[in-house]
Amino acid sequence: MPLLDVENLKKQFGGLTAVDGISFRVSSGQIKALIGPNGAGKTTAFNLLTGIDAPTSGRILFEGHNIAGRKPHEIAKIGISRTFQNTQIFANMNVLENVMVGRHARTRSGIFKCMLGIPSVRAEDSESEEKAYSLLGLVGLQKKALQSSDDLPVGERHLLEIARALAMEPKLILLDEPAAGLNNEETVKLAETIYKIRSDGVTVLLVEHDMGLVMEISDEVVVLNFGAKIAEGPPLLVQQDEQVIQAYLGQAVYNA
Amino acid sequence: MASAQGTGRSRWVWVGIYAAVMALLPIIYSSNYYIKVLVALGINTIIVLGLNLLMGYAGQVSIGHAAFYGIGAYALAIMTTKYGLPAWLGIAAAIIVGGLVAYWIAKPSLRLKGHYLAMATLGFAEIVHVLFLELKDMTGGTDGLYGVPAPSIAGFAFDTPQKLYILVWLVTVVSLVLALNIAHSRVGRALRAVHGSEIAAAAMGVDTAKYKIQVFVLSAILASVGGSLYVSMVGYVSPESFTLGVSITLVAMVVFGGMGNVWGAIIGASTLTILQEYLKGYQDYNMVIFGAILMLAMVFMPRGLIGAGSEIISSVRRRFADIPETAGEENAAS
Repeated sequence: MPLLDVENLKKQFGGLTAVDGISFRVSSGQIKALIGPNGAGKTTAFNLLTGIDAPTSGRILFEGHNIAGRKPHEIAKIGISRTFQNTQIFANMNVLENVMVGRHARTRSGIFKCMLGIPSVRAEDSESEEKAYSLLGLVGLQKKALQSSDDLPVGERHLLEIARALAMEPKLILLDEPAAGLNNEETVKLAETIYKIRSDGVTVLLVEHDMGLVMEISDEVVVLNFGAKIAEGPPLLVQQDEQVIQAYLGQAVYNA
Repeated sequence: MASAQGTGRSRWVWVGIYAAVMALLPIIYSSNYYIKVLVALGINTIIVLGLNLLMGYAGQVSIGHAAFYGIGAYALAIMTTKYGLPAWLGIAAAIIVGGLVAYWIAKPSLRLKGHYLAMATLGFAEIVHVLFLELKDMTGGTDGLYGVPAPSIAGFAFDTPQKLYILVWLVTVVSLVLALNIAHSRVGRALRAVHGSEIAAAAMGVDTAKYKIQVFVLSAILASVGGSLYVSMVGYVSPESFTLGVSITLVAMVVFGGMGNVWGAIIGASTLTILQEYLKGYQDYNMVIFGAILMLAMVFMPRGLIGAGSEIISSVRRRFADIPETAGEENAAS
């Protein structure tokens, strides 16, 4: 059974069909990429997978259970985490606290327990803090742990979001353009980080415009164009696909 | 921000200092007038601690909290004067009724965002105000209700301003501890996450609707408790104590002290209560001066007194600790 099985997923906004009946599977332990020109429906697909939007039709099977239309916080709890293309950091918190919010789905203390500050709350909190620190180490932000997250440059915001998304110990992580705002050196480091995430047992699905990165790290690539899937397969095969070349004509795919 | 609120043990040292200062003030300023001002200060602090959790932490604006303040006051007044029940039952009723009404209001209206939520709370407060006026059998209409007895616990009656202050002091310190505990917890971070980015909060597993309702109810309960303490002090209640102006003053206290910081609530409630009392001497001009001070404060200290304070402290630190700090950075880099 694949970890994620998307079947005929469709999303219409009024008259616009943003995602037009796409199907694909992600196996446990894979690094899979979702690519396509701007407006192809990649981010919409992510929003459907994480419950931000409800699909018009189709099924999203996660470990065999249909999660289509479930609420975002429920989907987080069953093991799908994500980052955002236009980063959504909590600017009113420091870097460490941002990652600690990522522990929310794996901690329990409710408002009454927290209000009373009972020992189990503190134990849970210090565990969250420890975990958050180690994840900041993974993405190289440990030294900035106590800085205001609002002061981080774009590239580091993406890294912070990755650490935050990992804090909930997801089975599947969705990365929405993680390389945006990173320089070459940082992108190489990002690739290492993604390998590390996979080796820690987390399956990766990413949307990315940096074709060099996509072709290097992905086991498989799904290509979308105008909301529909036009190709799927290993990077080398997909690169030679006639339709894909046409969709990308003049774009970065040739530089890869 | 974390350093301004104190971490771990230093936080409780500050609570101890605050509790001690608030315990000493009525000994230094012992006239009935000053004690009454201190009672009002404590009551405002209790309400603003809750409102700051709602506005400063969760980012949900309410300009209708005078309604819950009033509901608490009337709950106690009605229970004691109409049904002859003991005052402590009236306070319990204030907590329950305030909480239930808040839950009932929060469920539909917290789906609204920004200005729309503010408008909804405003409308709600106006309706409640009209009910205080028109449900004459229960509330006594414009005359209000008189002869509300002082609360007593185990035969000890809080029947003088001095004795009542002990109760207010206790509730204030307990509210402060509860607010600090929430602020520095999983739930506090979830509330701030809702404020920072609702979409990301949800993606991290935060049930945003649930927490918004919880914090709204909590803030309403604190306002109701404040209302029941207020009516215990003055002994009567009438609709004019729970107007839009009161709601706005409470919001001003949150903003003036510094949003999203528990100590900001303490500072905002304390300074503005004293300022308002001081300005009463200027009669007709007092609201003009009060408004002007708030305007200037927001222009020059957009993050409130606590924000301005921490900026000054860090800039002084930078100036005086210039050499060691840069040396430290160089060490870290090498």
